[in-house]
Amino acid sequence: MSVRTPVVLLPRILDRHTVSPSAYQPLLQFAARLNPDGNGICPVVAALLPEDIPIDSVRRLLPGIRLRLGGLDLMSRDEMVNIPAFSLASAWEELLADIETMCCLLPHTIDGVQLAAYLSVRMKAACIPGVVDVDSLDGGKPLFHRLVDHGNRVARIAAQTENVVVTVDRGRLTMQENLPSIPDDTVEVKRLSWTIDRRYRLRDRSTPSADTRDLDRARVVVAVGRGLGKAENLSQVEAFAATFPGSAVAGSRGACDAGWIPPERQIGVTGKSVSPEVYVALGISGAPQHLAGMQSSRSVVSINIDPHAPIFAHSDVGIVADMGAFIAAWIDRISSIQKGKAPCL
Amino acid sequence: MRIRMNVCLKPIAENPCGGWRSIKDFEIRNESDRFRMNLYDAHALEAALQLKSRLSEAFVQAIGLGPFGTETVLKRAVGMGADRAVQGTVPEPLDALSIAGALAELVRRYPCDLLFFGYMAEDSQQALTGPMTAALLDWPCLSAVVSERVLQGEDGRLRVCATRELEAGVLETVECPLPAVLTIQTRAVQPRYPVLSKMLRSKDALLQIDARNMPPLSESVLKTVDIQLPQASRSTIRLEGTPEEQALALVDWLRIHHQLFMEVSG
Repeated sequence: MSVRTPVVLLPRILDRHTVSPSAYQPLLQFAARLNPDGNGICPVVAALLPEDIPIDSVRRLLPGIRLRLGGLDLMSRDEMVNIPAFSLASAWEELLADIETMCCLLPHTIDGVQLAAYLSVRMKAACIPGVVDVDSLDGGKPLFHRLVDHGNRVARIAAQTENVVVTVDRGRLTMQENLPSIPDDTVEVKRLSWTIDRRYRLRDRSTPSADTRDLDRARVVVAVGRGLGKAENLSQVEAFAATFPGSAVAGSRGACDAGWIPPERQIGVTGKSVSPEVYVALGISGAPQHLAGMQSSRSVVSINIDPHAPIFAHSDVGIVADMGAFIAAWIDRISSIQKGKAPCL
Repeated sequence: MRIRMNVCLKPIAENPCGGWRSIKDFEIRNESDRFRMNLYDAHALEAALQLKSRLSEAFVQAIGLGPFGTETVLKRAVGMGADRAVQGTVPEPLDALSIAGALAELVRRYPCDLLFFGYMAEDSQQALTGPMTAALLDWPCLSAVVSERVLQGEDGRLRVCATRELEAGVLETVECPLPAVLTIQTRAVQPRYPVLSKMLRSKDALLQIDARNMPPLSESVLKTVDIQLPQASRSTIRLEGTPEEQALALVDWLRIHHQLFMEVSG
């Protein structure tokens, strides 16, 4: 009976320069946990690269890892830089076609999920996005953990297919002791006949240019969500933020979509990631996409009128209150204390 | 140019229990007969309606799958401006691949040039159905789209040019030929409210497909073993009392843990 292998996919095309270990190490560690008994199975790292890149230089970038490389023919340097990640879906399919795969692992990114969906259809494999942990029933099939029901619960899910495609949420992976890995310098190179899906044409790619360094430097970030209610309430939030030394105001995607907060000050997956000393979440429910941008804050204080808001499970201090009433009381109390009128506890 | 647009809508079950802490058995309840439109899908419908208003001739059709009760979501879509709505009856929530298979078949029955989805469902948050449907139809797919326009390519064929919003605010503008799948991210333009006059004709514009006439549904490839409360990532202290008492307690907490407000003395 053939032994099935976990395969970690590196969705970015390799060049001869650098590969950040953060791009594959968490996925490799996760892959090792799919097979806790070892059984001599070493996860494979699969990558695509232009054919003119020497394998030795790739080997130096990814030492001690079993590699499966797909050579992309007819690809110029310009094409390599300017292609959408999912336009290589068929190339990935071809690269993996002759591997007995038990699990394909991709990073949980927008392009990673799109590629996972495509591969699962083409490989007739189940697909589980946003995996945060894995265990197994009696050492059998892996049970993948992912958030469901608006992020309020965790489901343990088993694939009913021999192969499964998962995207691994590196930001929320349950940390466990690393399993010892066996260095493996095997390199397999496959020349691919498929290259780019030429139906797609990349017109432009841009990174945000607005200056948001104050968010990076802020000691306290005050972020507001849909609970703000209306734009008129923003001045109250700004006054609240001004009571903190070294503060900056930001927002959830909902607050930015509503036009209350400029889009460049959005915290979350599609915005900025911040790690201030104190993160104050005002009227933010705590969607996983938002948590991804603030979970490395040293302390999190949440004020929300909904006692069941998921943000409370990720906060050091939880205050169930109407945002407006709390801010009014806070400003009143702080100004009273500063004037020496009211005692502190 | 005449463009046909299908918008796939996921009806989200309203939770009558008011949050998970009040549900004792921790089971996700799907028997609700009250449904609302998934927020991301509402943005997808709004995007299609705005595109329609910019084109000389366009037809917008909403497609939704679900049990009895989900027709309210499709009627709302007609109220918002969809020309027609198609409701396919499925008995219970299915996995993304089964839904994608049924939708791909319905798209063959009710052809279109552009197939819209919300980027993801609010409840399951998978972002799979759109790309899976695209893969089954072998159509190009652009995900997490925040703006889009249709244009004529050099070869005379219609193309869609869409801007996607990726991680860390990176914007990527990509073009591809029609037919194509777009999955729509929430955006600054809020979905419109239904209009009474259109709501009144929504029953006539709704086409319901009963279970016998639905495309065969594939068996689920996933099995949910159990569902649990997530582990809290931090141990939360709740500050109780009136807002004034809570404010005072927070000042104290910030003083102890972060040396904030130390300059003000009591």
